[in-house]
Amino acid sequence: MKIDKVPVKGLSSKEYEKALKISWDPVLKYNWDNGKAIGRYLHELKKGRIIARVCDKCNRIMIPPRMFCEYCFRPTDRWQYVKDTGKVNTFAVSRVYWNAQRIPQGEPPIIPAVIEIDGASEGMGLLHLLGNVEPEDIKIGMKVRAVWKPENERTGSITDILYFEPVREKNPPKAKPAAKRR
Amino acid sequence: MYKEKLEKNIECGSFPGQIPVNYVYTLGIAGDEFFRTIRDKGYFIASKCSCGKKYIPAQMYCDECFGECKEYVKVGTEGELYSYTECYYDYRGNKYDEPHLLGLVKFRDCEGGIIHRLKINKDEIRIGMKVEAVFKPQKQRTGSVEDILYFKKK
Repeated sequence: MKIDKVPVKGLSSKEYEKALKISWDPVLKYNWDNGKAIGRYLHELKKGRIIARVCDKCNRIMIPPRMFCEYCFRPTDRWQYVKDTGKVNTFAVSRVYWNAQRIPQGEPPIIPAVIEIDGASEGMGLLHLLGNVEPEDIKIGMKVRAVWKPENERTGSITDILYFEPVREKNPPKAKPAAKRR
Repeated sequence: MYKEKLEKNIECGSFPGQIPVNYVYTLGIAGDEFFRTIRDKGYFIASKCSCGKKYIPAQMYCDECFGECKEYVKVGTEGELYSYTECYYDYRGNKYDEPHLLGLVKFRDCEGGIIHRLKINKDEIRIGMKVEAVFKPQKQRTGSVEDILYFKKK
């Protein structure tokens, strides 16, 4: 049967209002096994530190940590703490929430960003949020630092870091020409 | 080879969460008719295909011949207990104060059936017994399966 012969039509809003409906809100809980690398990583986040994993063969310091080097095809070798500062690798300004709902007028947009962490290999970073900054002021490569939750509120989650905020130079006049040259 | 011992990081060994997946689902043409009849008239209807098969709950197409079920016929409120079970916990894992009896009720000459609560004495219950639906008072009915309170012994 040809598709245009199938007697199918969508409901108009009026018909939808009139139609009988069922709605449901299922409880879909899960408990995800973190594995060794992410388990330790989250444990360290709870303590307010960021930890990476090092492969001694390719000398990469990897963040988020992983137990296996996908370049060298061998287990990684050791743990190493890295800083909670970094620079913006890329970012986006979102005016919708994760569920595609529009952010109300007047509320700040959500700014997801990839932060290259200081102390880790170049290009290694976290996907997180930028905060305490106007979207127009964000520059690729700008220095940022983590803003942590108070210690008693941390749960061992990436959200133990609330967001990354710009590191503001103490001597703005000196910093400005440097930024121009770049 | 990989020889490192397990870390004692049990605290963050797993990550709990919950996925919101709520939905609104329209009942469809036949489903709408079926539940509207329960709401407004207080009995069950079946959809009937030209090949003679009847379906309850009403459905638009015949499983047997793929024909459209163009006719609705009154079935009433009486059926036959096809199977039953006793439940101690609800679907979220909370224990019931008293065990619930759930049964599949089939209707005469109809395909399908309705699964619902039973309010029947445990000594009297048996497969094949005649049962009858008890509905909410008409004003409280909303056109859902919850308009049926339970099935009782006929």
